[in-house]
Amino acid sequence: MATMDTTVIGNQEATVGKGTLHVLDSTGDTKLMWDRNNEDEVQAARKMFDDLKGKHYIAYKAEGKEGKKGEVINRFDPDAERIILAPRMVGG
Amino acid sequence: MADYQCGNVIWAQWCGDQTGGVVTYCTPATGDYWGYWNQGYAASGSQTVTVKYEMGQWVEWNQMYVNSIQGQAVAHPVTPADVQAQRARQDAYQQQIRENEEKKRIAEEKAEALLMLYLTDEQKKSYKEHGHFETQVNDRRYRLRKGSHGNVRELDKTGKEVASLCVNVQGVPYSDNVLAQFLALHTDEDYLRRTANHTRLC
Repeated sequence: MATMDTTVIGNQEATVGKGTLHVLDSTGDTKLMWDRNNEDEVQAARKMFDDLKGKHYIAYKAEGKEGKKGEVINRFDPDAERIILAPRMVGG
Repeated sequence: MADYQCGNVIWAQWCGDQTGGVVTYCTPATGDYWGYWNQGYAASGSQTVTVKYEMGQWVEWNQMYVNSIQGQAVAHPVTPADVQAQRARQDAYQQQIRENEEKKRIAEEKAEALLMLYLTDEQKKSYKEHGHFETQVNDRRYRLRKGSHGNVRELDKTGKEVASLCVNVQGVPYSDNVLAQFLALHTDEDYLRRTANHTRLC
């Protein structure tokens, strides 16, 4: 049985070769993982990314190391380790 | 039953209906609503005569009264089945509240775990112990409190809170909101400041 390499990022374990979309929502977040070598998974992640961007979500490509803040991205990056999609902010 | 309207005129009318137009009155009969009503009437009125006593008709009359005069649904006597059904509804409601609270707790845990990925050890410690942490963005320093409204505070050089920035992501746990604010501050501070409502605190 094949084993996957993993690395600890913060207090969560991430799988090497995979990316994760975190969509912030009422459950905390909904995750979608994709394997960079699996085109179907990449396309599924890209579709979710584009759908949510169409709803004015803001996407942050996070570097995944403690203290690193990442950057805002407007196009899906299949090589990203982690992407956080947050609903648009409103003034209170 | 006790809430039904039962004034003298109504009673007289009822008796009239029941006796073919001749108004007669009841002998006081204690121990039931019918008796109480008659007793009250007798004490304040002038007549005490015998009339038939039948609880079924009394209930029926009241139901008709409620329907025709008040236009409301019939208030029927509460049965054990009614009590059981009401208790079941209350239990289901309480259960729903408990389930929602549990979902919120789990969601907050998940959100906090995600937020922790972006904080330094010092920030993590402060957030867990005090419910807030500080972060430097360009030439400004902010304190982010766990919360959803007015929880971004701008600090002066001494660490005193000088402004509250009210800006949030709606429909997410507190720590998700803080994460979104944190990422926005560090990637596009101007966007956050433009969106926020500012309140001076001193």
